[in-house]
Amino acid sequence: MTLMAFASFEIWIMVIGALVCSACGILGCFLILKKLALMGDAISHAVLPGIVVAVMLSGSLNSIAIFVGAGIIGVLTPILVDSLKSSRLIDEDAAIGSVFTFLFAIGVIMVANAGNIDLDTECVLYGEIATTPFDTWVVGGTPYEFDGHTFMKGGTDIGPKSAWTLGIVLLINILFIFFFYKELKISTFDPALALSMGLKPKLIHYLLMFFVAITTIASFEAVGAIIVVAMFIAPGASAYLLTDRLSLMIFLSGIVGAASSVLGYMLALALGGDVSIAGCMAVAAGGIFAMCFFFSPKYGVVVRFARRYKLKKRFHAENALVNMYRTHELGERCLVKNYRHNVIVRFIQQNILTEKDGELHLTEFGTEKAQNLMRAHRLWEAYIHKLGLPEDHVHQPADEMEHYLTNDLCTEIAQELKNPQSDPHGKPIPTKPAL
Amino acid sequence: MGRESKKVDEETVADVHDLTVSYHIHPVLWDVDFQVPRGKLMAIVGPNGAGKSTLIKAMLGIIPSTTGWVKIFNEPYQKVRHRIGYVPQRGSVDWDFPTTAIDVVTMGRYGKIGWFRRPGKKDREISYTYLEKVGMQDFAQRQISQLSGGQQQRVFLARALAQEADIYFMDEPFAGVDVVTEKAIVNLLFELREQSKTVIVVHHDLQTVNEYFDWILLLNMRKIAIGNVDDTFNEENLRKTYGGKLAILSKAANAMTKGRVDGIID
Repeated sequence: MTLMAFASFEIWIMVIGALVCSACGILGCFLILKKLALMGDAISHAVLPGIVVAVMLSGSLNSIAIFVGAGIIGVLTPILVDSLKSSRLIDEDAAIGSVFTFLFAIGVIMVANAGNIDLDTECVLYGEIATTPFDTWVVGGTPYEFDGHTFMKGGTDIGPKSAWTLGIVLLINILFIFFFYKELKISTFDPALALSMGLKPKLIHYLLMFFVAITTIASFEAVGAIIVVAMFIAPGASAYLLTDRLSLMIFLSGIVGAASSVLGYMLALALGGDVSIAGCMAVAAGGIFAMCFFFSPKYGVVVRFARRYKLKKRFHAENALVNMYRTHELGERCLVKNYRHNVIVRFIQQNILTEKDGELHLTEFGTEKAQNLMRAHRLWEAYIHKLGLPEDHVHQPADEMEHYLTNDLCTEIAQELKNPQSDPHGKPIPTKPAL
Repeated sequence: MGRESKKVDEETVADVHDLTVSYHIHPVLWDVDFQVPRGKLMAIVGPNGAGKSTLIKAMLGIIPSTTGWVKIFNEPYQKVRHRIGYVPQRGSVDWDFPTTAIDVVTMGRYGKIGWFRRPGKKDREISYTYLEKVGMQDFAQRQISQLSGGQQQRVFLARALAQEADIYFMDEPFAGVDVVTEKAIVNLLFELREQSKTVIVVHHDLQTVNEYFDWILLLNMRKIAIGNVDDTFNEENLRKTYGGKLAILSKAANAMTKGRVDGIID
């Protein structure tokens, strides 16, 4: 094998992987939004008996018959699930769980007993992406028989069959989403409205399931029945965390899918040996999802943590300010040593405090800020006291609420209470500061 | 008011004939039969589980009915879909869906646009106008989960307005909204009535019926009464609706589910 041929072999694996992941990923967006991730799982397993029957009838893994067989089962599975569900004897998840495992198990038995067909259990489960680049499509050659198989002599090699099939399926999926975008969107978001408008959400649903099944079949040889589920869900789930726009989510899921393939193949190369390439691609897809989960700029865990930390820091500062105000109110001295150094530094920077001889003084601006908080605190105390909470219960909730109450809400509470002058403990409620 | 204009006023826009709706074989609405005149704001009132939402869903063909038929503008609803607007319950959709307020309003245009075609510039302009009408123009590009309950309800209302219908069905538009939103919705309802459109509203709050509506349907698994609010919304009818004298209907429904055990013929 020449270096050139080796390189193109590697590229083909990544291309085929990327086609699988993108084709699955863009449809997966709708599975996720319909909360039907499990349905993708179900269809990808349930198509197995369809495949076996089609292979037995046509003798090949690359035939239209397989797509027909899978398409039928792909639509049959959700119909079976729906009718089981509407019997109201079992719930949807139980219905999905029983339908697909049953069909899959039948498929497994058929594979084991089919004997002479070109399918083995390992291929069914994990796929054999590493061999797909060698099964190429030759056009214009002359066929010859060898060892019972038909080969082509001469002609032009136009690349792996898998790449062609998957490319066409990806294109079909893109066209499906493009032409039915509006219908898919409304059927997913508000099926009742879609139905009342005559946009047939059920039909759209079954069409989607049909394309999920077709895509599963196309991906089957490369990644198998189990790993394909990861390709349906992980790219869409990652994209969901990254954007608020459906169109962008679909686009990003395609990108994430392609990236999973490339990263996954690199991971497989790094691990070396007999590692499953498709498995590595699924791991990469999972890894990208984990990254999005933690680091998504809008919804990531890290950002939310940071936001909460910032809020907590604000509460701390506000509590310190209220404390200082109270100390002054009692006519006591407000000492530097009673407060954290960084709080004092920040307050001085913000022109809230001045410091002289170890003693802290609120500036006019600082007093106003503190009065705002104090007013919120004591108004809330007065308000929930009026609602019937005893005097000694009102302080703690007010300690929390003082950070949230807006000026408008304070005014509303004051009006409701007919502008009270003091809180339930008899402390004065500062009047609304001039703005 | 002349005789002729009165006749136009009283024109029937929705005709529900002997409608029975069952979930599986368990009936939830029994032989409901009524007509709605044009230009009315009609409240559907009744206790929880009375079948109020079920009724409007059945009228729109969203759920199948067992017997009876519905005509809207003297036609089966399939023929007049483009003249119907629908506001489902706010809780019926996933507000985390990746879409914006203006996008949701534009969905109101989908029925008019028809299959395959996409909303054009004009549809977006119309949608924006209605978003403005409910006072939500500043939130057009907001992701819908970032809106408050009242704001979400207004977006739903704008979406129904974007359907530019002649009859509107609204499923609890006042549920869980703030005072400002409630007032805004009521004003819109009045405006629709002025344009002699008909609005049918599933409503929970008995205290506001007099103020908001001029027509009422009292419902509890069957029709109790229908008519103008002044005459129909009275103590006797309310007692019939909420008085829970439905033991026989409930038992009959249960009997249908179970089948007769002491069968007359074995």
